[in-house]
Amino acid sequence: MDKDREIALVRDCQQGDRKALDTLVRHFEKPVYNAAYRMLGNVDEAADVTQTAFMKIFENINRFNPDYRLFSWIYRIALNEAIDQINRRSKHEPLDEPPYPDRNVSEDSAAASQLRSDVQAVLMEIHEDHRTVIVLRYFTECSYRQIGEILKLPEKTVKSRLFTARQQLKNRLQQHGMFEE
Amino acid sequence: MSDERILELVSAAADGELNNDERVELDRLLAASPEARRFQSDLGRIQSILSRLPELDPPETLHSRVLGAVSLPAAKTRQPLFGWLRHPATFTVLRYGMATIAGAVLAAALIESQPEFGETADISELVGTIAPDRDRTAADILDSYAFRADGLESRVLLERRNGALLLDIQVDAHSPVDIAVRFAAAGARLDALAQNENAPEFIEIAGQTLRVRARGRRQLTALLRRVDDTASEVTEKIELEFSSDGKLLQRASLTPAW
Repeated sequence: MDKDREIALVRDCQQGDRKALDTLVRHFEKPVYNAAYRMLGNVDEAADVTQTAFMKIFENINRFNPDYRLFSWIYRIALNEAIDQINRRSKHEPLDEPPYPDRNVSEDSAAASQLRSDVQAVLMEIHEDHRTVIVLRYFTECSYRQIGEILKLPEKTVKSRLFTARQQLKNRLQQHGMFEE
Repeated sequence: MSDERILELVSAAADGELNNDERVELDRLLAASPEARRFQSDLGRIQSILSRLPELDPPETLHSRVLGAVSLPAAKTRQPLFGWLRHPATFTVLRYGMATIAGAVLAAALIESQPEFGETADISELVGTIAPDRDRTAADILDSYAFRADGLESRVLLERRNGALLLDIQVDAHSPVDIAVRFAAAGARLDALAQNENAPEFIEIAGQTLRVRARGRRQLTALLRRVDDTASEVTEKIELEFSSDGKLLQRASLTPAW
């Protein structure tokens, strides 16, 4: 969605156009849900966070600053909501199984499913500040500039945080035997 | 060539952030430095591992859940304002009991004069969804919290409107839910309550704790007053607790950027 389209959609939402609201939600719900899931590792929480994030987005739609990209604003709200959710919950809640279809799976696909689950589990082991930049870089494919805009960080800090995040991820993967030297 | 430059260029290449000059510089570097090649390989493997996590489809019901939960400024409905009830040191309000003595007690308790929160504040039409759309547009939402659980949905909004600080609590509960709101560390104190026909059945204020019991769709709006403009915003929190039958359901806090 280009910037002009974003601005037009926001303007329509501000004027109470529910069709615009529907369009906006339809466009962003999947990437927001995915980012939330990668942050939380739990499908129910990811859905709740997505819903709450959109509630906040529309409660504050009149405050959207068109100098920024809409997706940056939306991801920022959603990721903050995900981090709030992490802080709210017990630190020892078990990670749920990923929502992949498991009926009649072959041995190979069962192994692949297990691997996905293991990688997500490793992702959950790194600090949420580092997980956030990993999610933005690898799962939403944001540039340094966009990550900086979303997290309100200078690009230099984004690069350094991303470097540390990758190091931590690599270390964790090594500890779990998923990254051999 | 410094290690830092190696890391910077290899990382930028992995992230698609290299310009042409840097690309040439990196190629030279990779040819000469085993360390650079090893780092590049590491990043490639991380990319490969993470790429095994596929994009997920949200639950089928999510779209309708979101649409059902959100509202737009123009969709707000105006509700009748019952009045402002000033906060004495301690009091308990039973909604139905209060109704029977509304003429006498409330007439005396309602704010007839402007509250003391600021000279420019106008509270005549400030309350949450009570406010007309044009006021809602000007609202400055400081923080908000919302959650949905089995048989319970709630939204708490802290906003500044026409110079006044308002805490708007909306709840939709199938069975009675107890809500405790603590202002002690918030740098603000409770100044008055707005009563309307959807007010909770039970409201109690003790010190700087507001306790509410609600069932069904209820709304309560509190007028707050800042008491310490110099307090650090980091420590300022309005604490919320939702419980039912003595069991804690949710705990959250609003951290307003005053």
